[in-house]
Amino acid sequence: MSKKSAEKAEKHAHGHRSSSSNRVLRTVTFVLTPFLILVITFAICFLALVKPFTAVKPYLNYIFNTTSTTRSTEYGGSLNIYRADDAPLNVKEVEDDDTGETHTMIYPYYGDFYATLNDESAGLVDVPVYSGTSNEVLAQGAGWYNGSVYIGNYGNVVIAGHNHTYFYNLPNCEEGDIVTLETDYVKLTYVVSEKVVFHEDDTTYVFPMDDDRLTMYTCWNNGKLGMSEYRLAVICELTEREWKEVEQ
Amino acid sequence: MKKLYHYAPMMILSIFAVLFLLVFEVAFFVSQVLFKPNICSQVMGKQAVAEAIYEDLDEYFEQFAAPTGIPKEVFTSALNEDELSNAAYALLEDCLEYLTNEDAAEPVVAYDYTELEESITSYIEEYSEENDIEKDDEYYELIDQTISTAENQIASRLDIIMLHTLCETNAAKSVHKYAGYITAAMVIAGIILAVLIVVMFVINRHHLRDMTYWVGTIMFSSAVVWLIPTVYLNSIGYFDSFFVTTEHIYLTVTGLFDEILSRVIYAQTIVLIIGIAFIILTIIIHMLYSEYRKRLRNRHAND
Repeated sequence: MSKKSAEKAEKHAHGHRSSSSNRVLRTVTFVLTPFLILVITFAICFLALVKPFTAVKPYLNYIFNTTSTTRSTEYGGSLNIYRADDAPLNVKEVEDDDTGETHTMIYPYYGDFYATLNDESAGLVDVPVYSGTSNEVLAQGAGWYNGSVYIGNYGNVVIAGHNHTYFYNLPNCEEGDIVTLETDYVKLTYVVSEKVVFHEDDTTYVFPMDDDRLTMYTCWNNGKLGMSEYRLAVICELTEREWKEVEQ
Repeated sequence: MKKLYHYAPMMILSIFAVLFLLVFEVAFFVSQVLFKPNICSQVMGKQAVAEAIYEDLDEYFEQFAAPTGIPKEVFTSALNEDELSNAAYALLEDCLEYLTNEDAAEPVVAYDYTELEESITSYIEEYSEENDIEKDDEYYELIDQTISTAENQIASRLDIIMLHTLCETNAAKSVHKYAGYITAAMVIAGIILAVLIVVMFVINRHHLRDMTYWVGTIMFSSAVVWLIPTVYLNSIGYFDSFFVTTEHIYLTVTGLFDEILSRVIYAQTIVLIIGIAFIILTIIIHMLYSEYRKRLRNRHAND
């Protein structure tokens, strides 16, 4: 074979090998290009959206929270759907200003059964008092207004109830009636001192007070039917505070 | 496999085309689907929202009996699920119209309370007559207050995705502005996309058989960019943990999100399939073209 023909043959062989590698390269390019474009556009979208997403993420987490809750509506249980069944008691040690002694109080979670109310002469017998004043709470019993003081603390304890259910007999309370309010940690005894009718916008009677009192109130429609703008409040003065031993 | 001509410029143009296609699709979906009441109407029917509104009102009026002394049946006997549904849909329609069109009238609740008012008034009057209650100013005030409260409660429940509440706030002005931007974005993105496609055709005018590949690639990429997050959100039921537990609002909002996800997944799956079909078509075209060229070469060689 001459030198020229040998060179030609070698070139031809190289051409064949480069032609098949070109085919492989073209095929790989053909297949991978859509995925490459996908990755690039996905990355661009991700980079463009990461900052706005970070800004709204707390709101999204709040709006689409994934915690599941169970609700217990049995008497004596909690109406609070956000409270875990095994949530620990909110136990607080407080000092009595009069005696200097330290007592244990248990602060309720919202919706917890909190106390039992009695004014037997008016017909209020073993009225359950729950923590909170939402519709769900007031459907189950009277509601301790959690903007007032904790039962046992000094000041104005405010309890609300519906006039056609648990506080139906509230208008029967008369001055001088003995009222008791009992929790797991304290028993308070009051005497009814005053009955007042006030407008729903008047917050005077549910405000904090310097003296120890109990304010029970309900809707007041004066024996008529319908939604009233007025409220009847029965105000009671504290006469006795009996602390209990609390088992923890 | 035949080579892809003008690979680099076509690649770059394709990336831009995918991005503008995504912008166009988002703007189109928001302005032509989300801002129209039809999707909500379908969700309301599917999720039995009217029934949920009725049950919510039933529960409310049961509790309302406690401070008023009026049994819930006095209120609920005057309610009708079909009327509630029609009123909720009409309010939604008016709200969407108001939010997307500055000149539209402010939405109002269009529910006929006549039967409700008559039911409440007649019950109270009968009770008052039986119990010799004086019909003084206080008496009439109580009736008015009761009717007003009942009507407000019904009206509030007809605002199923709280658009009426939004219309009453200053946020409505922002929505007016952004609704206009969305339509403009759709038009601009559509025009740019069309221009990009035309430029790609012009660059590849001598190898038009490759255009099916590039169009298919654009469709494939945009569809997958949509499908990854939507399929993920759908599989984990992300929107099912919506924080509002009021039944009718929960059903409407979660139903709406589920419907949006379903529609996007359905549409983008079709786009994906068409994109893959175009890519496969390109392979077929290339094979046929190679066969044709081979025959031509053989004929010339024989000649």
